[in-house]
Amino acid sequence: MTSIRNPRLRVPLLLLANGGAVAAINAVGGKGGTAVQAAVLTIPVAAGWYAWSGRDSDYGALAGRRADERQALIRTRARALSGTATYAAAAIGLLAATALRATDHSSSRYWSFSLVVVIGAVSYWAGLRRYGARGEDDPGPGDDREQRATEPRRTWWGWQPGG
Amino acid sequence: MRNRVREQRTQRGLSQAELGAALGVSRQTVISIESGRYLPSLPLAFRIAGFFDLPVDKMFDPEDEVTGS
Repeated sequence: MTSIRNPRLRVPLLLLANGGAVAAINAVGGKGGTAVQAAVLTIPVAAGWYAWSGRDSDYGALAGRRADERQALIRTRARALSGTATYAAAAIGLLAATALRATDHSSSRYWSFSLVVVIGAVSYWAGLRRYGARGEDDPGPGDDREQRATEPRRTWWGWQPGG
Repeated sequence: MRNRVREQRTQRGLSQAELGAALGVSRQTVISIESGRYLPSLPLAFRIAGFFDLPVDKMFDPEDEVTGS
């Protein structure tokens, strides 16, 4: 895969590619007006993003994909907040859609909310695993439980040999 | 936690942008560290201390947190 040397160009090129794809799909589908709209909207957004990413600020560094450790931490926290808000909104939406469906048997569709809730739960669990959360029966390198088991233990009736 | 980044930087006549470039971080991050709003990671703390040729415990003072000043 070809890499883009200038990190500032990555997002604008991705925006242009997405906008171009939307325009092409609409053009093929005979919706020329929508295709032109997509193309006309995409170009200034991509150009604006590129210009914004050159600014000497935290926003510029994040947009230009050159964040240092503090800016990356800010981005991680912002993503966590955004994910939490999205998940909460999906959970509320699922509740509301379920209630509507239960009361009037209408065509209230809750599958889209369910999808977000399930993806959120699974990706959270996957994140815990990926970033090193360990269970009781999941010893990692350097686990010293064996060693601690052989050390004396303090009980209410005094020190007892380990093992 | 108090640190001596601003003091050391000004003694050497460096701007925040120059120090940031030398450490591989942004000017905004240097400002945040100097003002105590951001505690750098251990690798960055060592880079800062190494840049100013001081031990880490001379660059960053954890006692200040205890006294609350």
